[in-house]
Amino acid sequence: MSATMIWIFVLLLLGSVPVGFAILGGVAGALWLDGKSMAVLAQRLYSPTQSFPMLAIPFFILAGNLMMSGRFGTYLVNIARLLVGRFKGGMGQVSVLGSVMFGGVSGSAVADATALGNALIPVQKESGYPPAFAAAVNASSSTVSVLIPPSIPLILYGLIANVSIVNLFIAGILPGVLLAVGMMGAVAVVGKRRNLPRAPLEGGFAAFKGQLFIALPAMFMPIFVIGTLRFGIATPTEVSVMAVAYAMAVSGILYRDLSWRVLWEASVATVMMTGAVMIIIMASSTMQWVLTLERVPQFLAEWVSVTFSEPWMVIMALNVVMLLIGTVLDLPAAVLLLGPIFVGIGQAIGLDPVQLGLMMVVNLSIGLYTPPVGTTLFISSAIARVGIGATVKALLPFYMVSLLVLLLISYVPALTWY
Amino acid sequence: EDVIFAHGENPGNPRYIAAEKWAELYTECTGSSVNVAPSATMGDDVEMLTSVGAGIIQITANSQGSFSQIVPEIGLLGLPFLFPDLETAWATVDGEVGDLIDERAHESGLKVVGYWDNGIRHITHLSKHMLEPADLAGMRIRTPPAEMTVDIFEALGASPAPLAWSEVPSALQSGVFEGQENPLTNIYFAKLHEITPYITITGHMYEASPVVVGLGWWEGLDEATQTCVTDATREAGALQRQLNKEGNEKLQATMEEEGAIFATANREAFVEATASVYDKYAETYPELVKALREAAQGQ
Amino acid sequence: MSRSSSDATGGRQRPLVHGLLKLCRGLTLGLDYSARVIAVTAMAVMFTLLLMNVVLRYIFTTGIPMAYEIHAVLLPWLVAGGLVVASARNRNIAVTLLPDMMSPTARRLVLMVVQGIVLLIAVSIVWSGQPILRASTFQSLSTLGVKQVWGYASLPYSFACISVIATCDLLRLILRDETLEESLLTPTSLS
Ligand code: NA
Ligand code: NA
Repeated sequence: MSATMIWIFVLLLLGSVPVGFAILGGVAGALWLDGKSMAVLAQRLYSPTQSFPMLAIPFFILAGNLMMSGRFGTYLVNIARLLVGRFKGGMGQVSVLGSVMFGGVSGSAVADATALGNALIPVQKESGYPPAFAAAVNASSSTVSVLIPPSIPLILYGLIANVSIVNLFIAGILPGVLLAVGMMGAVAVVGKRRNLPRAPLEGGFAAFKGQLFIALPAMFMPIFVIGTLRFGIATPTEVSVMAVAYAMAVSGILYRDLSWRVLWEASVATVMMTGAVMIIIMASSTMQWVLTLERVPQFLAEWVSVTFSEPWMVIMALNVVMLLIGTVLDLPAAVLLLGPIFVGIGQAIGLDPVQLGLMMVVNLSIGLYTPPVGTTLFISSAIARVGIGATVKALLPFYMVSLLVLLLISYVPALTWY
Repeated sequence: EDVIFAHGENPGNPRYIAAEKWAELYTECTGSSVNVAPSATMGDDVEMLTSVGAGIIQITANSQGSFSQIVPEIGLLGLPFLFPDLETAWATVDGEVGDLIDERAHESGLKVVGYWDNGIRHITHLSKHMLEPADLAGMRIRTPPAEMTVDIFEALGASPAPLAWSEVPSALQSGVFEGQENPLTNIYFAKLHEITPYITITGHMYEASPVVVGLGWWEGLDEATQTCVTDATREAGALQRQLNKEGNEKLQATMEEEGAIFATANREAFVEATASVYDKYAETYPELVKALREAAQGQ
Repeated sequence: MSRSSSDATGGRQRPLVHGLLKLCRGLTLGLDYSARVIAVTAMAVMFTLLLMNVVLRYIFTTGIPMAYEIHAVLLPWLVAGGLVVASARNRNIAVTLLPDMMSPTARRLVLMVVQGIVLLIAVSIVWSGQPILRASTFQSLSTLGVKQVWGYASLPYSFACISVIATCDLLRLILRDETLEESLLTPTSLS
């Protein structure tokens, strides 16, 4: 039954059926061909919506949407400019550092690529940056957001792998910083070679003091999230709710740009994203049902540990599989599909599930800016009005940096410390 | 056709071992194979009951709390300090009271083919033991979302509040709750004894693990197969109860090694303090409460 | 390119085509709007209760017991509503490699087959879910006392809406509604 299911799923997926429905089609087809009751579909579809920790997903999305909808973004860019604008290729550095800061309020790379891309790419083009390079920096650096807490993909992984979301969040900070530092290095090299202009903040620190004071509360969000989680003051779900309240307070009281309209639009965007993510979670739960019934994860884990003699080979194999799948499949979908199977394999070779989670998210987020299908790649190229091919060429140094970071966190457990 | 036996426990747990035993016995008796699905892979307890009702799976070893969402009467087994010892509890659910609950289950398309054990609940606390009811005065204690538990702790003068199971460790760590109550196995595997090392053996509540099948599936079986089902459930159940009892004794020693401090509560004082709970439930279920009391006293 | 063929269908059918397209767009928009209201309301209620509960617990060490159970009924409706919105706006995640490589005519055919498959799957889930719906009428939530079926009903609701939307999309593709084709090919992501 499992083999039939996978075949139908892959066929439907390649035929451009939405991921959730492709999975459901595979499961339904396999059940029907096997003469089994299809009632299990509805039962398993419903199950993930009964999970209390799952509530953290819509609320973290909402908190990020609320934060990004206001004036906060402008302040953030100014802070980044003050800090790194004076170097060669300054606006490129601002793009990377901005992603780190945005990452602290948003759990989504695409939101980051859209917001920062619209703010920075036009300015970069005006000051003489090659459009492809501007798009490349934006496409790659925006993925830092899913490593700096909060992070939607890490929450998803935590839920399916039954790993503490708190630990994942903490473990994500160092790889996120490492990735950002590496990308800033790449920008510096390119900036120097192409003699890209500096972009210090006009008026320097003096002009900025007032704004810094206003922007600080918003930047306090990641510290608030990690702090409350780390010291066990509240659980991820509670923190996500408080993060929404916090975002509402900051933009309502401090920035005074919260209106019913903003609230409604942020909410609609949130429920739509939640629906689109949850259909994949729900559909994978039907697929898991068939797989566990036939003990596929166990067999697979056994097969892998017999085929590859050394753990490092298994880790390498997992990474190659993920890089391949990431070229076509969206990050959360890939985490949900591969997670349950990879966790079993990781267990068999004694890999820490938290490290595996970070490995998966770092690896699959590279897929966001690889052809043929990559969302931050598409968004950034569209904003810069440049062809995908040109952006991919300009992305080469960034691919090298991210692969290096991936290699490091795959084999140095200390880098995903929690 | 394969029979799917689903439950929520992991390898090593008595329920896990008993389910394997059940499969062995059933196959021996009927010649058809059983697919045991452990670790809640077919869903949590509530979902397994839905699945049994809808015919997706055939049989589940479930929990008293989840089953009481369908048959509230089973919750009365948790009346405070009802059973003097485990043996009496077993005799009671295996007798008339068990049949009564099974009869009620038929209305919802389910059938109880036997009762296994879940365990007796005890109290853990951050910093002190609960030897007398007075020790509980004002205590912020986490309970599952179950009316009976809330009633018991209100009668004892504590301030109970329900909280989702997944949230319990952090709520205890932050001191929002001073303690909680659970069977030893749950305490141990959630590592709650590391946060709340003061464990008072109160045994305030007994919980059974009803073994449930879909009525539709049951009625489609011939009489011989039905007997195979009940016999396998009884025999595997005897093993499960024994393992559970032995396991609890060993568990206490293990937890003590890991730093937990045990003490035993003054049972008489607690019994007296919770007498009002019986009156409340006797209003709604006069006959069942009477039958339970008689059975518990060995009459 | 689609101009020529709609001319070929003849002037007679134009009003009918026009009417059908209008009906389909209206229907999709109506489902979209009602789903937005349902999902946002569910989210707002859960937010309010959970926030109140956290505040009560940390400041007054009491709580609202139902805050920990309400999600069992409301999260399914948030998700169901969100799913309908995502479907109405064609924002579900898909791998659009194949249609991207094809000629416009072949691409339209692929998109039609996809909508047909989505329709088939959605209908079969509504249909096969009936025993679950029945079984869930016997279960009630312990603190709220609400029957589980009130949550389960969100599932047939969302998949019935998706069936309607898929039928409409199929019709719109057959009638060559180009705005739809464009939105079907816009990649979406949730990372
Ligand atoms: Na983030
Ligand atoms: Na890609």
